[in-house]
Amino acid sequence: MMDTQTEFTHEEAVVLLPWLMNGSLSRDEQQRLSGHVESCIQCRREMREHDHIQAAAGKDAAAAVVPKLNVGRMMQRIEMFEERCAAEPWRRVFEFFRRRIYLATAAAAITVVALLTVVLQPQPQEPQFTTLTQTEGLATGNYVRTVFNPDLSAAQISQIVAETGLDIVSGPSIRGVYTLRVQRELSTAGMDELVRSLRERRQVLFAEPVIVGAPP
Amino acid sequence: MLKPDGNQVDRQEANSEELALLAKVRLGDRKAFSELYADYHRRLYTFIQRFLNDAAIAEEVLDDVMLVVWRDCRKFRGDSRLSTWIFGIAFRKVQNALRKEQRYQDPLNRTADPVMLAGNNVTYDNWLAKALQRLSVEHRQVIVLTYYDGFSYKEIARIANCPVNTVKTRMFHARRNLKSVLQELGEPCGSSR
Repeated sequence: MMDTQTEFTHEEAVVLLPWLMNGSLSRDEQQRLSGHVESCIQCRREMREHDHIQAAAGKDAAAAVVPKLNVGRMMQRIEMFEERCAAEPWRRVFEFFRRRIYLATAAAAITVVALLTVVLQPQPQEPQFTTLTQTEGLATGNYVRTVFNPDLSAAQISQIVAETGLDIVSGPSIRGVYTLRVQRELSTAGMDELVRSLRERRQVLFAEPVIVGAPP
Repeated sequence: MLKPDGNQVDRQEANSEELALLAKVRLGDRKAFSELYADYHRRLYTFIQRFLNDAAIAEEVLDDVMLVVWRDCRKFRGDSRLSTWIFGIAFRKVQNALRKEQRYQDPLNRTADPVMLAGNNVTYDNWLAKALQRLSVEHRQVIVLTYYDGFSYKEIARIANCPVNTVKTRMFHARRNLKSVLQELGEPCGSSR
């Protein structure tokens, strides 16, 4: 009989189900997860959904139209690359260092130290940096970029988002930022109120509106 | 519904064969490289094309990926499966191509759908393929790498260069979004079967 202490909790199990389905879990994870799934109706229902997705993925993959394999074209590129390396001595040196990354790293470190000791001037221009209000890639509409308390589970974040009338468009990013779309049309005051209410939640660490306007 | 444990054995065997090829590629063996290219052609193309709908661009990116494999074959340290490393290169190339495409889009075209790209010349019959086009790149990536390419969540973390928990969280939200998209498309989500 399975030691129930080694079984996953329901929240842990739900997020692992897709990888149980595709057979990529370790044997230990598989056993622990199977133990939970056997007794959880909700997980078994989720498994049917995964099954449905997996089946569709299999059909889609099998029906994919792929261009004819052209190894000759690829090998031509390889030959051109090798010829370029042979013809350009600096490129040969570059490749020599690139392939010996430790030498390159040491050389780079020495160069950086030398530059820092010789050139220490304040930057006249504002530094380039990425802001959380960047609108690249977003369709017209109102959005909120949000960072949640990292202790929250995905389900808890989903619930908060749903409660506030938002949709998760993307995220989390590597830095834990979610892009949330506002479902309904809001005035500027409405957006301010929405963002204020988000910020008041202790589970929300950061919230910033992003308004992508319509073209003139 | 559960795949047999033999799946892990299959994955290990496939990886061993690929590593043998890579060992030859490191010695400059072009025949071995062309075998590796042929082995990965379909998988990489279909993966890349999920994000870059233009067939010509997808082919070009595929060749870019394999050129990196040739050039950097000695950099692979064997601390993951070879496919994980190659797909990691592929995803970075995809991200670069996506950034280039966004730069060339009409800057005043603010109504551009974030997941539809310039040069979209592919139509999808399969409901999942249609639904994937409505997801963000991050969410699409985790769905494709899991259900189409069979990667583990740890491998996906390496490919996406993000923490393991981020992968799990993205999958959770991606599946929720898939459900909403399926409802909009009028497709059953499977749990009612």
